[in-house]
Amino acid sequence: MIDSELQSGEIPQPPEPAPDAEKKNVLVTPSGEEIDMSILGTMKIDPKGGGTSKNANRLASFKYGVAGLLYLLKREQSIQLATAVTVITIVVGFWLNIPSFYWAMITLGLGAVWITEALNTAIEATIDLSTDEIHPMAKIGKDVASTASLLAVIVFLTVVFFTLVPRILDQLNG
Amino acid sequence: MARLQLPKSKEMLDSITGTMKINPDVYSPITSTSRLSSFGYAVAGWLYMLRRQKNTRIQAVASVIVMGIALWLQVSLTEIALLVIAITLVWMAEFFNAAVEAAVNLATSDLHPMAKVGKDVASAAVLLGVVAAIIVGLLVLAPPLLARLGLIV
Repeated sequence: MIDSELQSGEIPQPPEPAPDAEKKNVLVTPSGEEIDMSILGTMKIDPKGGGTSKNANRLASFKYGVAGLLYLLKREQSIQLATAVTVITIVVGFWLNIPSFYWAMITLGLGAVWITEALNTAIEATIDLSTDEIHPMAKIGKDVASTASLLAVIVFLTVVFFTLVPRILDQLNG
Repeated sequence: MARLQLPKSKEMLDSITGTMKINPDVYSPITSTSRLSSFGYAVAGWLYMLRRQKNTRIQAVASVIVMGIALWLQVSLTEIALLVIAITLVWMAEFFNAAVEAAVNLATSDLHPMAKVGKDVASAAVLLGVVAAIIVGLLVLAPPLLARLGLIV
């Protein structure tokens, strides 16, 4: 396992070995805390110690989810485009009278697109929060998060190609 | 809508291949050295979610119930595959939500507007996943379930 000290990560520096490197599976932070690095170690961390707020009930989680969705619909151009694509796909689906199996596949494809767009936006916000400067790791975070969205779009287009496109061609050929 | 621009000049090509040239090892204090340890961290994260997040435990129970109903109704293998993908989508969104929450908590202790955006939008991803999973679940399971219960013939 890796035994190295936590660093701020601002300046490129090679990782230094921990003070007591003989201790196995233990990461010692600069503040002297010991982190259990075994598989069961993460489970023992209480997020209430690190978090500023914690949801009290399921209803509150749902409320935050809706708040995030409204933000996306108002601010994100890609989500507005995704909404338009979703509406068009639903209309085309009803026009072609596709079976429920196809509906399920299209739902999963569109779901993946929406989820990755939302997570992309969330990661962008997190990166903007963590640093004001232009940092290479910020670029990696944002670029790779948007790659996830791109991959989901490719998956959705593949689903559309195999489900809707043959039926549209049939319909147009009569 | 932005027009898709193909790399015409060397500058354009450089801007696309730029990310590829960044070595994350230079900036990250800890990087996974072996495939086995990556797997170990994934299991550690999974155990954390089951231990600390009530939503994940609810999802675990719901996933088992859905798979149980699917097996009881003897739906086809392709329909089980659809259900597995839908369940996985929700789990993935939930785990990313927790990861983004942890990253936001790590980045600041203040109540910052962008922290709210990050956390709310990440939980919106879970909501979207749940909506997609419910639609797929109804499409796949509702007709055979109603038939089994004798509500439709």
